[in-house]
Amino acid sequence: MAGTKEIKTHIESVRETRKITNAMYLIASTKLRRARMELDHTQPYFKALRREIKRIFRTANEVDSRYFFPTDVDTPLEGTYGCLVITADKGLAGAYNQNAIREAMRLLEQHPDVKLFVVGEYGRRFFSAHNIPIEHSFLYTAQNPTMARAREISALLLDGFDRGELKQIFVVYTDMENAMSFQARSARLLPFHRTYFAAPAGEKAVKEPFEFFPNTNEVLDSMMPSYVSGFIYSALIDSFCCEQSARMTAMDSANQNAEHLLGELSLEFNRVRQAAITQEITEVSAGARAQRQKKGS
Amino acid sequence: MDTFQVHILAADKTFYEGPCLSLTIPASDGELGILAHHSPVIAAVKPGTLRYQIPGEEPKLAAISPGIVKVEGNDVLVLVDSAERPEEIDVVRARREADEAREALLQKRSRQEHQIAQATLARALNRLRVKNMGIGR
Repeated sequence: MAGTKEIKTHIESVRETRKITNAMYLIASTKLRRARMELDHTQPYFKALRREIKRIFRTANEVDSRYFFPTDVDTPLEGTYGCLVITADKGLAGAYNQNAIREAMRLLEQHPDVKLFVVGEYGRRFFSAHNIPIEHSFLYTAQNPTMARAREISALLLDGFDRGELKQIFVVYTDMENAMSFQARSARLLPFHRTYFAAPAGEKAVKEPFEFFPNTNEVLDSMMPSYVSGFIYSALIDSFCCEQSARMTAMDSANQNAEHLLGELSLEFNRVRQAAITQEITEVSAGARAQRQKKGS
Repeated sequence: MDTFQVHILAADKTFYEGPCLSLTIPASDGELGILAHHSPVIAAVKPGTLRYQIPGEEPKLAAISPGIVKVEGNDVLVLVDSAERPEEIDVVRARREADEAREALLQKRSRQEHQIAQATLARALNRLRVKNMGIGR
């Protein structure tokens, strides 16, 4: 059995660690609240934008834009793909990073000719440690997703797409399904599939045809960068929310574990202390009895 | 005068939602004026000044970035990357951004960085213009 001193140091170190995990828990919950608020502010815009693109597409069915899959082709496109992988800057967030990276690796296995664009320090470290070349890494954007950052990323991706270097663009991000569960996902950002914008049943039909100023393609061209940066922005924020939420869960279980450990340790400490006291009393009383017996004799 | 409903949505917030008398917006081939019962149209929006009049109030200005405008029924939807009122614009910051963008343009960098700098410069100049107009009145 360990001595009281060892147990005491152990208890101290567990306490210190619990302080840290508790602080991280609080920080994560504050950040999560802030990010959620931002997400709520941006939701109406992106919903409206998406709805309008869908409707434009349905109104003008003959639109032939480079942003859409060719009508008659249904097979996967050949060529280099671009893939934006969103990870966190730090670990200690449960399986959040691993899930995102596993999703990216799955994509890489299916189609090895992929240029990687990595957000977050963790992903960058992982890929460089595994000797997987990274096309571009955006440092310190996972911490603080802003519209300007999203615009930068989308400008880079769209530039590659417009020049034909990237045939398809994927985004690997983590989606928050509800408050408790999230899932790493890969979504194809460009080009759009026609069926993706197909009319869902029950949506109001276009009664009067729209007039396009100056023409359909121009309108689509001016919408697309916004749509892409919007998609990237919401993916960044969505991932950020998940990261914080994952960290909260991880830190919460760490706290509980520390609590449990402290309980066990203090029990053990008390036992050891009690054993020591009992032993001392036995020794003292035994000594006293020996003295008395000596006097008596 | 008849009014129509307008929804001005920026990427980071809902800018204005409510009744409106008239709306002037910079489209890709000149300004587009919208009054009540305008025919359905979808147009590309360029960065510039948006003017709108709420019933019973002075006409208002806003600096906007690219996006689209849609008129359908008596309902106008403006979707832009950003929209700012003159009082929200920080002159010092806009000027600094403009200067930085100009410097970035001078350096011979990649095409894509050039485009970003150009867009930033256009945004900053547009902000300054709207701010000045807002004060001038």
